[in-house]
Amino acid sequence: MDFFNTVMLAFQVALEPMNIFFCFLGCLLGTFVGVLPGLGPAASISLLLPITFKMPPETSIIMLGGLYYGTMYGGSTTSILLNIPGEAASVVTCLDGYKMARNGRAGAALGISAFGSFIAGTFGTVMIMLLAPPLAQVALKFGPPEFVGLVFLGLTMVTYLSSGSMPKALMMAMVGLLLSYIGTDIVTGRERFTLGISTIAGGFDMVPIAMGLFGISEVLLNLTQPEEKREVFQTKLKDLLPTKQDWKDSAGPITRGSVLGFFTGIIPGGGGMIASFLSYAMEKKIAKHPENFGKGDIRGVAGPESANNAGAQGAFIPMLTMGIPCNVTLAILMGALMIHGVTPGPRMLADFPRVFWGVVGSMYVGNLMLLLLNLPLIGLWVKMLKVPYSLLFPFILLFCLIGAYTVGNNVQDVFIMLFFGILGFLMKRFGYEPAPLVLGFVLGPMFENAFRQSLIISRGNWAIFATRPISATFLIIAFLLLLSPAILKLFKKGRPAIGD
Amino acid sequence: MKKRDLISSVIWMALGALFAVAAFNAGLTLKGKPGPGFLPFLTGIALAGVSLFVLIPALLRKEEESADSNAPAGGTKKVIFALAALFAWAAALDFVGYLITTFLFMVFATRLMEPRKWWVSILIALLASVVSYLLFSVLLEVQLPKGLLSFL
Repeated sequence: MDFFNTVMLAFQVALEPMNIFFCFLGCLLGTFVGVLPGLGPAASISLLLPITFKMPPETSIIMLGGLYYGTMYGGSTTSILLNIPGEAASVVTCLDGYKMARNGRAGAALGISAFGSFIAGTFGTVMIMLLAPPLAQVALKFGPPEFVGLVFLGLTMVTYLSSGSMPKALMMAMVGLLLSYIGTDIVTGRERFTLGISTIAGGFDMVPIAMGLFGISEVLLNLTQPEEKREVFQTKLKDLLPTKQDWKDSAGPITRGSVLGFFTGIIPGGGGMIASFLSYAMEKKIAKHPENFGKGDIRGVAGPESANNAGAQGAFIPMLTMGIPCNVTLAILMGALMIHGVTPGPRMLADFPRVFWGVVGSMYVGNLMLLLLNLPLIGLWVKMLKVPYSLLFPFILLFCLIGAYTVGNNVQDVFIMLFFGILGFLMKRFGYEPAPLVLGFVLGPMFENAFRQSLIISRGNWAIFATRPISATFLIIAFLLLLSPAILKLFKKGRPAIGD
Repeated sequence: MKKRDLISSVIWMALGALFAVAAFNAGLTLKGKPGPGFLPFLTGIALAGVSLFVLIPALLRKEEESADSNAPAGGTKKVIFALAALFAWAAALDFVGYLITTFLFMVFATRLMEPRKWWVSILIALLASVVSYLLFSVLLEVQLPKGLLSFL
């Protein structure tokens, strides 16, 4: 298929009335979730997953994908108006966005972040169209050993870039892998590690795990906190259209943020928060008057807000072309694709062109919708912020309960979800992040399969991982990353004295 | 964090070891090829191994902040109440039915964080249970148990 035909196909699928409708619904919900602090994209996508079971796969991913990048738009609203980031990716927007609001420039801050997000999101989508087919071509040549290296590197990157302690993140990825082994062994058909519990004989479902870890546990954690009084910044929301000067100031940051965000988004564990922080740091460094940053500089809003949106689009590339989700939200999206019988990876482009190009095409539509949703309707979202958490959380819980029930139409999945809810609550309390666990769980079956196939190909010779150049490269990078904290320590302190 | 790191790392280590033992029993190799227990064995050992990187620093660290109270009084009680309500919903669902269980759950949950007027809670719960029932059962054709109301 040549480029022109693929573009035609992308828009043909994306512009089907049903897909437009569900894209709109996804974007609407995404903005809503983004605006609300305490409900993230990972939890909300797992909440909605069961109701997409009956849709065609492309429609389902179009809606859930719209929800994901929609949160990147909504997240900035609370950062600017409340100084509370709606999402992790919008933390850095608080610095200058909130100051701008206090200086009476809330409208301009909201406007530039919506326009920047739109430009960056569209740029990211164009890049997916250009880069995904060649990357899938490369990945098609990968055999099992290469995939072992790739998954290993992906998991290492995610733990390396995670916000908390690295050993803990690594442990959670391993717990995720262990969980994925529970159930029927694919190769031998033997049941393993089920302790004779029939519900999990076929393995755990992703939905109750993700809903427990991100939905239930989040609510439980919030219950221990006293409700903060939300004071929405009283400001005129007119003048959402940035002035000529604003555009002049923001053009550079938006461009740089888009490129930077897109490429960090491709790296497993990158994108989102890291993209926005890097963009902020970069803008501050190259600015002529860096002292204005932190005092309400529009460049500090335009750059990061573009970066996190470009990153959100970029993150789709490894998932769609190689089957490697870069972050936990994409891991859940990948799970959603697999529930629909579509295996993300190099063959997806050839086997499911409608799904692939339909989803990519819908991103143009979605970004345009989000721009329209976020600018004129900003007042509505601000009102939404006035719903107190004490009224909101019962509905989140109810959605989790129904969602888990609908997975298999039985209460056993509800109990599994509650178990993971308690686990997630305790994990956070003890300083462990649930995201690497879910990534490990989603990547587990692919990792194990590739691993065993590699050793079958090589007749049990482990050298296969080291002699194939691509897998060797991946593994070397992964081990360097794993050892880097120790190496850095060595350089800092010189030779550490033994018994010190 | 010292105490928490100690407790958690020991638990994860035990889990890793348990998996390794179970994996060993499941069979490491099968006709000369890696068997169903092979990778789980390695992963379990690795988990136990990495736990040491949390356990040992925690052992070496001196006891520091003891007043690490990110949980204000009453918080834990709310969590337990919420969990009790969630488990009760799941346990009662099949017998009592979706509408009644959800109504009771929502009445309880809307009053958990803040005292509310009874009629407000009841109204919200009534709306939530009926609307969600219509949405899921009628529109999305999810089979929700009718329970005690099965005569309807």
